[in-house]
Amino acid sequence: MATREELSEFLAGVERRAFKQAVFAVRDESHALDIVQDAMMKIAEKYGDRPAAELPPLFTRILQNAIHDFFRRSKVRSAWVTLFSSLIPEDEPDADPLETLEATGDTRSESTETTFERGQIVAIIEEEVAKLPARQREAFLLRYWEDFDTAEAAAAMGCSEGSVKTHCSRATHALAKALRERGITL
Amino acid sequence: MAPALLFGQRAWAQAKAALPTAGPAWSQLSTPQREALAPLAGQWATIPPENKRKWLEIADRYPQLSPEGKARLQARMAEFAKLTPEQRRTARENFQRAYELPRESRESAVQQYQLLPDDKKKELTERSQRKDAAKSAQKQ
Amino acid sequence: MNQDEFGFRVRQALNDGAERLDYRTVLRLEQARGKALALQRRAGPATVRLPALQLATAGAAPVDGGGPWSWLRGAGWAAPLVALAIGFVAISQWQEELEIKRLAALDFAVLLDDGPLDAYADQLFGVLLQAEQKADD
Repeated sequence: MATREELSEFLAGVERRAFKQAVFAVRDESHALDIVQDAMMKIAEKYGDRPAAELPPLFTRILQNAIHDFFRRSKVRSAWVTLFSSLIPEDEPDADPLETLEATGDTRSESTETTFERGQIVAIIEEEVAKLPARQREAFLLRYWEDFDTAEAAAAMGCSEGSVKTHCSRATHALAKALRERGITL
Repeated sequence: MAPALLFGQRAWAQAKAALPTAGPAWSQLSTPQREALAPLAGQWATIPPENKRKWLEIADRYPQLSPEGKARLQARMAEFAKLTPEQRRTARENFQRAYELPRESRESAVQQYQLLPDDKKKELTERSQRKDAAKSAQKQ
Repeated sequence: MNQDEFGFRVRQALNDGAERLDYRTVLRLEQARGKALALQRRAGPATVRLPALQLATAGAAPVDGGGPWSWLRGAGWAAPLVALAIGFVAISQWQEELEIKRLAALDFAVLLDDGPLDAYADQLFGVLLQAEQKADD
């Protein structure tokens, strides 16, 4: 059973990522804050007595549900989310954009850049992540930001592991292409 | 027997029981706490108990920062802790006020402040203090 | 670069972004966390054994902290008032805790900011900020 300290520590560790993920999905900071608050209150209320190790996947599911609920309640989906999904091709072109992002001798390619430029890069990456179709973004963030393995991500998203891999792969390709077009090399 | 309190309260109560007036001693902090608050080691004993609690909250968030963030936090920590309570209050107010403004205005104010020579700063400070004193005298 | 490496680099950028939250957001997240913790579902008996708390009534009887609660059962009509007082004690400790957390979040933001501390700590800087504000209006 999670102690108050364990629940507090878990929430403190996850709240910023959760907020960012909600912002990517709903594109509004104020709504995102409400969503995160609802998710935190719900997990505390309903699952506060579970062992601490069970909290991360539970919270992920609650957060995703809260985001989906938000869209259901707001009857109009964000217009350009729908627009963009139609622009992402289903089949990948032959050239793999990832292969063209070659690491230079210094893998920390921002070594000569100032903090200000790093801030720009971060903002652009966030923009492009937000533009991903919902399922691709979810899979990508669960794998690479939440450190879920394929099985855990599949459970959180309610789909097969194969679907998770496909969504993840498409997300990565779309991001790599978008960043390349905006002149960003990671 | 009071209802269960927020994170840290139990540890705090235990520490308080050990040293009822001064708060936890440096040696009583955990290793991660000491790592986070290292710049304060020298002055820790002189820090009032409520401020110690506040610093421990900050120590809890330290692990989540990037190396860059950690370095900046620690670089400013010792300086901040050495300010008088009045100066800290002013710093918090000014920070909040600064963030009401757009970036350019904020940066402009910083530039202006940094360009002022010390004697000019002294003069302007005295002038605004006289103005404040006059204002409160008027109200009475 | 393979997919995992790319994902890892994006993650680094996302982590940076998560740290750049402005302090108002940070504060609101803190408050949300506080509210959530207040609701935490506890298995097993409640930590406080008291007759039903009826916080609708005003006026609190003084409480001598600690000590066994058995005498409350005999207190009859005074029990809700005492329970209210205990509630007040807990609430004000709570508020103190929240205030400390609020200040911690604020100080955290001040420390991470790039504005010079000597400027922030100076009332004169506040005057300059006010002047900028007036210039914007």
